Amino acid sequence: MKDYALHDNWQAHFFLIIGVAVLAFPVYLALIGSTWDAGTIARGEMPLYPGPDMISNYLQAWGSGSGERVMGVPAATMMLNSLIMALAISLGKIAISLISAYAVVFFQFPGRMFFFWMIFVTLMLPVEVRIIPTYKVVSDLGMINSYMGLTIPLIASATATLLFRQFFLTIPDELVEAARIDGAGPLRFFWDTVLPLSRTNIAALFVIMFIYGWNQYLWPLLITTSKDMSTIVIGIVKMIGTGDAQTDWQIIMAATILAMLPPVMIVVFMQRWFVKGLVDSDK
Amino acid sequence: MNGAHIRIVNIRKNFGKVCVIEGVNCDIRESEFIVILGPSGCGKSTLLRIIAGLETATEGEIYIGGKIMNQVEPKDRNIAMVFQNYALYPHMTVWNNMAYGLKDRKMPKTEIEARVKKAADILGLDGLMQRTPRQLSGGQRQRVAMGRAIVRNPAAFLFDEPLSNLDAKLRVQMRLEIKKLHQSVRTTSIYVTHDQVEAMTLADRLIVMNAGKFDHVGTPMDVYERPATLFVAGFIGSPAMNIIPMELSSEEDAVKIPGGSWLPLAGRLMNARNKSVMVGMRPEHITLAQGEMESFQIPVEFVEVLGADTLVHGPLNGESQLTIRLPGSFKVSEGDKLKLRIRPEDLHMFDSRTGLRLMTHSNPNRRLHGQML
Repeated sequence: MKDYALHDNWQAHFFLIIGVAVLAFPVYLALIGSTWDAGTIARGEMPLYPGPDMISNYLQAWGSGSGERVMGVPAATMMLNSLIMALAISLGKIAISLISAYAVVFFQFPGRMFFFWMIFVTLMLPVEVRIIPTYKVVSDLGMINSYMGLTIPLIASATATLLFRQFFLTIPDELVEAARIDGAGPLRFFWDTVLPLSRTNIAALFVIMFIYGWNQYLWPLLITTSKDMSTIVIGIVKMIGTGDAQTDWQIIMAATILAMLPPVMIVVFMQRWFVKGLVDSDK
Repeated sequence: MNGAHIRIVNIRKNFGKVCVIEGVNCDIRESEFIVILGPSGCGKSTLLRIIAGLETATEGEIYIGGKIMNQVEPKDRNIAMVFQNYALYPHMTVWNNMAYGLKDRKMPKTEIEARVKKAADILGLDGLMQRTPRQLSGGQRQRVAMGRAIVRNPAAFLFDEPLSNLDAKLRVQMRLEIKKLHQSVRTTSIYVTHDQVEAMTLADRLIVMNAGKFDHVGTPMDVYERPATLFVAGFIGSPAMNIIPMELSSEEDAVKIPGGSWLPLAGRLMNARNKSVMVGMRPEHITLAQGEMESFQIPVEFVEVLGADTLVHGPLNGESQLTIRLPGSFKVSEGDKLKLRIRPEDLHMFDSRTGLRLMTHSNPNRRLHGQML
């Protein structure tokens, strides 16, 4: 990577700064909004600098989730639900797709290509298309309002399977053969060689899938009806008052900022692995 | 640690309808270094993989140390293999790469340490044990791959074109190291290559493979001096042997250069089936004639100066192109005419249809001296 001095290409920096400002401004507004009282925002007088009520707003959002007007669920509960869902989905996706890609790439069995294509075909059906039958199955299994119902249908992943398949195809045949001669069976080869070689891919996928899981909206909306099962993304929407009720925007803004933190932290902490996993194949 | 006797009995291999190995047989003695040489696609790597157990034979049997191996898993065949691209575990250190096969066999730790240490000593890998393969040069990786084979103390080493990924200089150096290694451990080795220099220098015995068959099995000198088929004749030797169709005399003791003079043979040809034969002349066996009778002439078309040698190319009587290897000190330029001769015993005759070598009656296997001089 080259370090350019600012004056070398100030035009580029100028446009980049504008771009960042455009993207960051709504986030900044949310942050500012979470520091004023409800009245200030409702009257449309919110200034562009931080207000005095930050700590109380955040405590309220975290602890009870409700302001003066709307009865909500504590953000703490909802974030825990979201965390459980995002972790279960991302780890489950990685585990399932690692194993299925391993089977498709390294084993000869009847119908191998058929199964591969079946996995591939599911890519062409977005969640929304199969959401009614999926809902029917999950509700018949009695998994409404449970973590299982929330996560299991989202775990199967064609994208991750394909990604691992492509990576496994780059592992040279000779390496497999060397392991066979060294006496490593399929499971040993998986644990000792395939898994360590996949770790950057796993990290990259974890980041993507965690954010995917965290931001799920439609499925949790259908599958969770009780308040203590709802996720933060759903919860924020439900906080917006309907009809005559006024909305506690300061609480919503605080909850939004809180909801942003886990994905941001995941990206920041795993950035190094994430970029490595997407950029080089580590061979 | 002398390795095992390996027997290849009537091995055939079909991929679908395509037959890549057509029933080959060979007895490989203990401690022998066998090189299988052939052009790409001749089935040599497939044969090696069948011996290793990575591929199953369509027909035939493999015996290692007297025991039939057809149904035995690669790990239980007590062989070690060195691959062309080294196939090192990229995420493991050199030490772990070498120890991995031993750990899988649940060997005691002290024994593993001793063996890895010994192999590292033999190969000069001492300072590199904690590095990963990507921190090593090509030659070092190749050494680690060999180390992984040595620590196993196997019945046989199988080498699958191990030097093809190295640059020319390193290849020469590693070739010598493999030779030295074999001289010190004396493990039965089967080495597959398409490089004839590797084949000639390493082999105790050489198998020249062509289109799924063994064309010639013999010592390197035997293969060079008495190639069994036209293919072997053209494949071994650099620059390649000149092969020219000629007409056989009615007494079957001389051949006629197309539109030119007769070249006497060392004796009458045995079992020549027709009058047209393929005659092979090695570029290094053609010398300048100094007034002898049986000579022929070529105009010099172009000259390649290699330093130690000079290669001269020219058409033989306007037809077949002839290459001659002369000492580097010899000065010649394009347009010159050269008067040349070749000793009768340096002529190789092959059946023009089957490509098989034709022997002469008089002492076909020994070089004759003084007859023409």
